[in-house]
Amino acid sequence: MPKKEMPSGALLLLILRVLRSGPLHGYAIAQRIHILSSEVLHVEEGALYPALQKILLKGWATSEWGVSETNRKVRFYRLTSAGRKQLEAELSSYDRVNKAIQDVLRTA
Amino acid sequence: MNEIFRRLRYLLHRRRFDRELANDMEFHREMAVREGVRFGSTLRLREEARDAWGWTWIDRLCQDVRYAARKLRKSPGFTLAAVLMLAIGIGVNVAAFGFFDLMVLRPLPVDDPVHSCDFIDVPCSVMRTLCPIRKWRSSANTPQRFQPYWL
Repeated sequence: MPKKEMPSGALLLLILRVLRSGPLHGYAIAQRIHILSSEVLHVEEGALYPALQKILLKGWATSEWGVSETNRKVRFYRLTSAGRKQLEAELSSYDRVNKAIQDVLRTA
Repeated sequence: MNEIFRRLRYLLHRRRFDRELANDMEFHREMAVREGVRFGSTLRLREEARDAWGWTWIDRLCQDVRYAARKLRKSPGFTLAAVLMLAIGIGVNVAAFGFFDLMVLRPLPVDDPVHSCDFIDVPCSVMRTLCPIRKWRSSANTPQRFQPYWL
């Protein structure tokens, strides 16, 4: 199973996007990204938690206590409206850059 | 703006947030182990995550200060010499500047210090004739010009 690290900007974008479907705990965020990317992307804990702390600090998400599937107390991260806005902004800028790269790849 | 307040909150409640982070990671480790995935050192990972709060420098500073205090306590002779040197250095400078300030920098407590004049070794009777202060002071057109001042 191929594992790929990702740039931190992309990780923020993916975390925000995954949280849009509802609050998740840290492990579930990593799992969901891993599974949705057909197990290509692997979120390292060493990147995930700093990114989550940054997201909390920026006010893009809040954390609340919940109970995990394994019946354990754990923090769930919930996207805020500021986080939604940030996600929109990051998505549009990502689209622009992606399109630009595709244009170069196709025509060069 | 809000981010600054949140950052401060992280500084004030560092212990609580650190415990929450530790709990997050402990949970993550449990799940990872269940799936048979390796999980790195939680202590190191926690430190890396804490870096995002932006207060690592305070911890480092405290470490340095504690280290310095320990070292100073270990060698009291050196500490005493250093403290004395600083005390004498600062003390002499403050005293010298204080004197200089008193004699040179501070203006005389009169309205027009540039036009002040000295009467040195003049007998009282002559001075009274030369400079009838009481008379000038009482005259209406020069009320402020002449003020007696003794050092």
